[in-house]
Amino acid sequence: MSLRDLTQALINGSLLGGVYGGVAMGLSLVLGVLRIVNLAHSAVLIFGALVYWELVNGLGLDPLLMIVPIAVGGYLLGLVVHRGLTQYLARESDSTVLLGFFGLMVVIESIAIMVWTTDTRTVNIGYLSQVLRFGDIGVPLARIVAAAITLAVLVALHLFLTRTLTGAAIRGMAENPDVATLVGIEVGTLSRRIFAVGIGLAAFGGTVLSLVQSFNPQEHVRWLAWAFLVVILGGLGSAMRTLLAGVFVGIFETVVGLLVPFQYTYLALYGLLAVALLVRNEGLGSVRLRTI
Amino acid sequence: MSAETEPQATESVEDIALAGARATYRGRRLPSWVMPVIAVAILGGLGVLGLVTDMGMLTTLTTVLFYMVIAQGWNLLGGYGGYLNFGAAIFAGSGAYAAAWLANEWGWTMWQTFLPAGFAAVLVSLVLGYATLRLRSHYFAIFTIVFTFLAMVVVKNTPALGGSLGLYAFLDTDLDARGMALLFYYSLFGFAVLATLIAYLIEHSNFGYALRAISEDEPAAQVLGVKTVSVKLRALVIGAALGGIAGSVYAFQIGYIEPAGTFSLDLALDIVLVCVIGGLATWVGPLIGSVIVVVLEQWLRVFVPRMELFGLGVPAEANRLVLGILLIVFALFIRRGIVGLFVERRGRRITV
Amino acid sequence: MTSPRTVAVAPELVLDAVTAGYFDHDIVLDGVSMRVTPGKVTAVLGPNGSGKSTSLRVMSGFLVPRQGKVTLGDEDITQLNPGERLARGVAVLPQGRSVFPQLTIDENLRLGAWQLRKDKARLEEAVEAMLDRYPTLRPIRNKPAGALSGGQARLLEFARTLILDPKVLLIDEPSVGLAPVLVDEVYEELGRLKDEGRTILLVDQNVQAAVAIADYVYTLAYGRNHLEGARDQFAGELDGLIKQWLSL
Repeated sequence: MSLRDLTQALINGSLLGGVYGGVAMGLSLVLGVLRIVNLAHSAVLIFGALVYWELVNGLGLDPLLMIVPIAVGGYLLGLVVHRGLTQYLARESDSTVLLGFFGLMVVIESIAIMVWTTDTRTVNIGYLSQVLRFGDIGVPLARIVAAAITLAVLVALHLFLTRTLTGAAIRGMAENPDVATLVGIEVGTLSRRIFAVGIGLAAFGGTVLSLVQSFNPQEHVRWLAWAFLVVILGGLGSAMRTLLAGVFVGIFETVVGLLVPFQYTYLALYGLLAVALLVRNEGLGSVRLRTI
Repeated sequence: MSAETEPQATESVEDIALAGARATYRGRRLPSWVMPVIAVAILGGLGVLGLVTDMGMLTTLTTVLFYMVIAQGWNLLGGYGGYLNFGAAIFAGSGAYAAAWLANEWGWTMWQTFLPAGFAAVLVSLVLGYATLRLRSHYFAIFTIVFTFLAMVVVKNTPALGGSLGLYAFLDTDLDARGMALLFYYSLFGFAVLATLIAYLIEHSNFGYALRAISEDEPAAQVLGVKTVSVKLRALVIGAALGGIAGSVYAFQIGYIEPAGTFSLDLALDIVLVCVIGGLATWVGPLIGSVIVVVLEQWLRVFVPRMELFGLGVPAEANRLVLGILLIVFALFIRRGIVGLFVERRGRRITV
Repeated sequence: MTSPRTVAVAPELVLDAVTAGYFDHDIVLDGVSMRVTPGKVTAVLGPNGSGKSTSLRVMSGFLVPRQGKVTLGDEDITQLNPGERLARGVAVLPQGRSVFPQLTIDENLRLGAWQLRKDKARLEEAVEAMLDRYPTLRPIRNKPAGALSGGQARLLEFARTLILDPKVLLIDEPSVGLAPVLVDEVYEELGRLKDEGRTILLVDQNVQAAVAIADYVYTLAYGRNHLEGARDQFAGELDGLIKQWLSL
């Protein structure tokens, strides 16, 4: 393995990893703030990718522009799902939430397969399909664009969460919803909006992912697993750490892919997950204390 | 304000907590013979039907029994323990693969593969359990999904297990088609009876009360001395063993297994539905649920292709859509299943 | 920052025959009534489980009673949530640690003033006023609140509770879990609030300190009103009461 190969892998991996961060962000937000494991996350992701495919391949619309309506559509869908389902589930036990979201995953997946069948699809990236050359290294433009867009979104989210008062309210609500209620934060409304943003991010994740990968609705669980891996590694509560964790996974995957036959990269990644779990046990297992 | 029970120096703190859980359990509206009678009716009925029905019905009923075995096992951790999860396919799949591999490599017969299949599933469950049972229950659930996917990938890339082409499992026998079908049927029937017995015994044992304590309030149970990790692991292992054994019969019955079909979330969905519809944390629930779910799926399979929506034929995936919706409906409204509708539980929290 | 005007303006907060509980058939308060007189300190005492904190929860909006009502001045606020009550001037200082640990002191204060968020200037003013009132917080304003000592966190919690200049203060067991030295500091601050003429409802297990600062005292037992009276009437009976409660 030459230096060139390694550099190529590092670059490819980081860009891919940037996209992974975007794929994971929706899951991380909803889990971190609302304590909901959105099992339907990858189903929404794939659904978003499929609708995106429909717009770009089917109607010939511009791939970059179409990311926006998909994300917005996801947000709107999230509002509806929260009002219709999530807000009732969230009052019940953890098990009820799991059941409901698994059911939602099955519903969304079934609809996707009913409409689009189980064919593997690739988005027609048109003018993005060039490969930029930097000396010996070739980097697909689509990857750069996907990673750049994801970076922009995550940075914007990070700034929103850390620099605005509403962002502080969201972070506070995540830590201690009772005190948040105490100071007059409308926890219910804010929860609905956060959930909707989470779904919007999932749909967004589907679009950027489809710029670099082909996809098929029967195999969306793979992305749930990936997103979850990134969330475990990056921890909850920070868009930047989610991004970094995504980049780490991307680099790990591509570099390991250089060293071993590709089928073992999955295993290596799950070994990584096991290690991460053991190390992060505290954060995932802790009980949230309510002081009122 | 709850009245305080007088502390008895002779009882351990754990016994007091378990007594609390027992008290919660005793609130019933049905006379105590109803559940056993239903169970005997269902199992007895199945025992007899096997001898008299036609091949088509026999296959359907075999599926009912298959689900019963797995569901009784799953229900221990998933229902009584409150650790709802989607890992049914992991254990049934491990068992199926163990059985198929043994049949291929060493020509073992189905009878010989029962125990190893169960054992293989137990090993897998221990790996999964040690890694994830210390975490909160919703993390465990997502891990079972991830692990199902991981199992599929591992098997797909392991040539020794047939890779993506899968394995054949042949039953070396002189029996005719019906004879073989009856063999599978009654093997699963035997295990279904066994599984139901195990569930019944566990429900009425300290182990069962411990599981229920964990389900109601795990931190409290821990503080009161219940060894939660050990209890959960035991429930997982027993469930896995039952799932694995069912898997071994499945491998021979179906004759050919491959990764995607074996480690599929569809089975997990079905088992969860069986227990949720029948009644989580009840020993009769999986019996009722299996019958309902299999009958429902058969009906959907027949009815859906004939349906028309806005003039277009409805594709097969609509079956799954209905199941998904059903799960959501049950999650929202009938969380405790059919048995839960009739059995009242006085909610008394374990106060610490 | 607080003028004597506050005394005249503060409305009376009243619990009227309130019955409340947490679970379906749970009764924690059984027909409890009490008044929080404007400009005075009203203490609520009682043994563990008597319903003191629960009455505060009903007053603050965290628990809706099954029967009875909560009124603020002329208005029936029984069904209003904590945020709506805060907008009407009822602020709560809850039991235990109630800061947002990962947020800075500054952010904690700003969130305390959440209801002022549309008026940036007023919000800034309020934050600065609190940092003036509790000057030890100012140099560390960008430190995460979780890194604060018990005493500092308490000051932050006081600041957050006062930032909107509330008319009525509901204070829940301020001395629980604190070292004796800190308890003294807390009661010093409570004394300061009393001198400013604020209306305070104080729930505490620390009977002596609470009675010393109170103008009027209620005691609860098994979720019902037990005794009530002006402070002087209680001073003599304290020892007897405490003994009674400890034996329950």
